[in-house]
Amino acid sequence: MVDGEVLKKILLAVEKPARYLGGEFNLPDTDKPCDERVCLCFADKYEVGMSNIGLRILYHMLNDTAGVVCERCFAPSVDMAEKMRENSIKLFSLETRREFTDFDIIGFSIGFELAYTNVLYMMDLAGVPFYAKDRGAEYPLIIAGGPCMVNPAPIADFFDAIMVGEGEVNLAAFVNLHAKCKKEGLSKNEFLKRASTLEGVYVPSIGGRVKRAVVKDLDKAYFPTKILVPGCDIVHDRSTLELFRGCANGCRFCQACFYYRPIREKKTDTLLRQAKELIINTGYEELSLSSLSTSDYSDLKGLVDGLKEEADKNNVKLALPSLRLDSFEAEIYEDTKGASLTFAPEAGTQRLRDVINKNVGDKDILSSLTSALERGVKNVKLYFMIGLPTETEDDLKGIVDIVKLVRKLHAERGRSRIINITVSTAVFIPKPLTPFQWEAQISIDEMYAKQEYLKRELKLKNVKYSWHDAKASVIEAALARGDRRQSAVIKRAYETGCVFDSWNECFDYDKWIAAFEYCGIDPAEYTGAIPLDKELAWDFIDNGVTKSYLLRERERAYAGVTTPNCIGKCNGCGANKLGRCFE
Amino acid sequence: MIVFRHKKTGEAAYLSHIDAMRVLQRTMRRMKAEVRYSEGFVPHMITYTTTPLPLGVQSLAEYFVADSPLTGEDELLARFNACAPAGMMADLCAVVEKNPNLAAKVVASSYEVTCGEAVSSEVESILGMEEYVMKQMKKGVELDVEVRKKIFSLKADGNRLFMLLSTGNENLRVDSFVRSLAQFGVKACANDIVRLEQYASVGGEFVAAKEILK
Repeated sequence: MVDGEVLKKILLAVEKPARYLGGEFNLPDTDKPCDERVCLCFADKYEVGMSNIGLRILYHMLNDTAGVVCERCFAPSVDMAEKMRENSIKLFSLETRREFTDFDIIGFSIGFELAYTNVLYMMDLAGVPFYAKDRGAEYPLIIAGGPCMVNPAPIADFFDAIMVGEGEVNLAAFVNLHAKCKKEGLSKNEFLKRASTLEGVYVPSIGGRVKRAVVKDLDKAYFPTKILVPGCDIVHDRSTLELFRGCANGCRFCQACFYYRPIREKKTDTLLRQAKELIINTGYEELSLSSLSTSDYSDLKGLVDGLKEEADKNNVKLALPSLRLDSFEAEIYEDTKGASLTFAPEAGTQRLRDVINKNVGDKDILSSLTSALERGVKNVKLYFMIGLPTETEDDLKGIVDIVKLVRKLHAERGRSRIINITVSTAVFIPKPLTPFQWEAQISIDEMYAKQEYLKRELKLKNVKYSWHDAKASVIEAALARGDRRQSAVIKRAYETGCVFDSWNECFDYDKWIAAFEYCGIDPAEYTGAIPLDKELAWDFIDNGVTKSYLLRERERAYAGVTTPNCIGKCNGCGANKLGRCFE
Repeated sequence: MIVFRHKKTGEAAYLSHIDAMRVLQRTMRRMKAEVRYSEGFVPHMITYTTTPLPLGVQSLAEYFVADSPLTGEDELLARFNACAPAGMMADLCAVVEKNPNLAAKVVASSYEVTCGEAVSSEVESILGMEEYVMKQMKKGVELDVEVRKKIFSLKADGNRLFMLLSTGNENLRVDSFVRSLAQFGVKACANDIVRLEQYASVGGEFVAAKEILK
């Protein structure tokens, strides 16, 4: 356990010391007698990790499991890491300040490829070897889960086991099995052999195929309402209600859409009950709704009406994110106080929107914007992607045209108030488990050229243009479709100073390229087009959605044919076999 | 109006003033306490507090005032403590007619400092000085400031130091002051300091803030 006196001294020398202390409201009893002590880690700072709904669910779920105590650990900021090293303090958990070696299981939740070096950073601070093969019985079991497990190949060698899919299904069973094997005196390898038979558990040292674990009935799934309320500010400092998982829209670049299928909703009554409990248990002044496409929730009107009543009664603000243009329901949002509107047309022309299956027509954009402007919206945020397959100059020009359309519509209304337009572009990154998983990413020079064009054309009054870092997008793409050889690259990148790569100010492209070179690997192998018949690094995972469906969608993309939303009629993506869509 | 005297100890000592205010307001919300909100475009809970503590300094006597019509001090105190984080629980609740405006009335605070080793009584010689100049950071710049008149009492007792220092409009930052005492062999930093009570000046006498609520 970390010496409190030494810790006390360094806390005053670091930024935001509250990050490292825990002590939040609603803390579970972590001193109870237990058979198994687990530490859930998030490979980013406290304020980012504490905002993660997946980590929140699993943390409380494990603490509500008999015989199990679960604690948390986040990546300390660089200033804290320096002080810890100076004072020989190893990475410690927030609840009881135990080191990694005092736990039975360490579980990393990884949601973003650029967090990979942070996993090694945390292991390094904890004093544990990076590679699973180098960790003997004196070390805890180190496992990983989270959305990046759609392709765990690049990081597989670092972990004893990988949980593919939704942790509610098998994490508690995995932990209990470990406790049982520990009692029986079984070795780590013997335990892993048994664990590999659990649904969704992949053991890299054993290999084989694995089927993604999926919650069959989301309505009845574990969902904590007595959640931790941090004292210091975090990124999403509010209660969050999860409406459903999966997305029916099938935008062809979107990994989340396919990864979280089958589509499973919670019932309105369940959500209203959970909202009521969250409001009273947390004291949060804001409640937000989480899903991939909130406006597709089958009873959105009923839900929002019920939530508004409860929220108004308790002086709680209701936040409504993730709106799709085509189902924008003005009447619902009419009386919400936000005077800003966020739209994500993703592409500038109808042609390209058809290619990516963003089922939003020019007419929808016009009517949605008109309706928003009628209501006096004064801030419009528009999100697009550049570098999408088949993109031409006309498509880029289309982005500028949409911005000009907003200005024109506003001017026609003769409003004296100015309208602020924020345009943001991300670079297309081909991701596993999408119909575009075989596509090439455009070159850095092309990214810069496209960004320069938009910078020039969007130099308009009250229009602000921001863009994602091109270089970070290249490394993200290389890691997203990476294979087992990349663990050496990640290790080299970390050892040469790469950490907090998802933070712009920390990302160092040259070090990453040097790490690839050092390992004799060309990143272009991963960012270029992949032949359709080539075996993919993630083919060993049965994610539900089939490869043949993705190929069919890819063909339709190149033919410019859209695939309708699957709410009305199943498109046969294959996810149904993991659990029924639309229970 | 309800006034709570609460502590700020343990992990809570590392919360900034603004974070601590938010924690207290969320405590009121969890209590389901009726509190008045402002009537602007973004309504906020109407609450008041006293001079912020430097980060890391603990306290046994922070005052938090909420604009609420509720009465029943014992029940309110119990409800507050059931809904507050462990490091911010209250030991006193008072229902008063109007805002006691403690931010303006509090002029001094008493502190206890636990030092690494016994403190020499030489430190008390400060009280006999005409001037006492110490270093203090102001807007990122280190300045020499004369603070003798802001030191009301100072007593060494074994490895502890008891002090009464100016608070409020004429605030003396306790962590900077304790750091300046290194020249007298005092080895302590912010997280060795505990604020024991806050005082108002009544007829030239220091009176504990809880007394002026009556």
